[in-house]
Amino acid sequence: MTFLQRILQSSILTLTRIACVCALLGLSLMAYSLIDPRAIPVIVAMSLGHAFGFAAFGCYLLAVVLDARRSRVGSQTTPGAESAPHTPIDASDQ
Amino acid sequence: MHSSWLTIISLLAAAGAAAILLTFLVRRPALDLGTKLWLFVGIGALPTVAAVTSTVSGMEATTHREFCGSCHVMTSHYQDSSNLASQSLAARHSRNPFFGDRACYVCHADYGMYGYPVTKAGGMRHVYLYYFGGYRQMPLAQANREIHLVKPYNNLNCRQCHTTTAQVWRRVPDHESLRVELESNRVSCASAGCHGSAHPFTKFAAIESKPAASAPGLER
Repeated sequence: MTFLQRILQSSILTLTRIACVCALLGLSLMAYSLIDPRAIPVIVAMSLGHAFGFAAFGCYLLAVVLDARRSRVGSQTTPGAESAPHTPIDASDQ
Repeated sequence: MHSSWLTIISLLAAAGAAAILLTFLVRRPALDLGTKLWLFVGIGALPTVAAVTSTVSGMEATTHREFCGSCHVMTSHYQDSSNLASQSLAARHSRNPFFGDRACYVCHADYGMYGYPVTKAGGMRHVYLYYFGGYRQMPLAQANREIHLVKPYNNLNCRQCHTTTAQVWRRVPDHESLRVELESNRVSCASAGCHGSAHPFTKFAAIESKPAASAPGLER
């Protein structure tokens, strides 16, 4: 199984939580560089902090795309699914 | 911490985003459209605001004298420039009400179209040399002796403020007679016999220690 396949098969909630954790890490690095603006904190915030931010947004976008794709596939395979509302994912999706 | 309005905006944006993300992680709500929109604000919009403002604020912070003085090898330079009794060029420029708190950057920055990125790239070299080039463990006395400009100081930096076209500059005989040498950097404005060294203690330390071997050049 390739890395891409593993990502595509992973839970949307897991991806969203990874995005949240990455965003929190990036934000904490940026906030620390503002509170203590020395060379290393500023450089780390502008490199690693931004990398965490991009990774978080990428995971979030992937989760949204996968969610939309799965709901579309579900509505195509289930008879009468057009009339049925799309069930939001909750913690039991894990 | 420089409490500018950018810093405050950045911290508020980061706090707002963190509140949204922590709420999602702790309460685990259903991933419906409303939650997705909140997450877009928490992962996309607010962090973008925080990233942009913190980058600008961080870059601005790197132009302050306190930032330059935060590396111990610059302690003497920082103390001299902050000394109200000092008459060195650096100290006198640091007392300037318009740019005194950013005097290191204003005097040592490259100017021109690519001046800012070139200066910042030079700053990265300083960081590299500090952490991996041996300057971090270097005693202050040795640093004063051995750390020197990587290239001759460019008189153009002086001329950003002290124009050479004004009468007050041109009526000085030495200026007129050395005009070509000054423009081609063969004679420095900050040399002995002219306006003196910007950081004279480094010259005294170098003279006292001769013929000590010099370390790799560090552009200040």
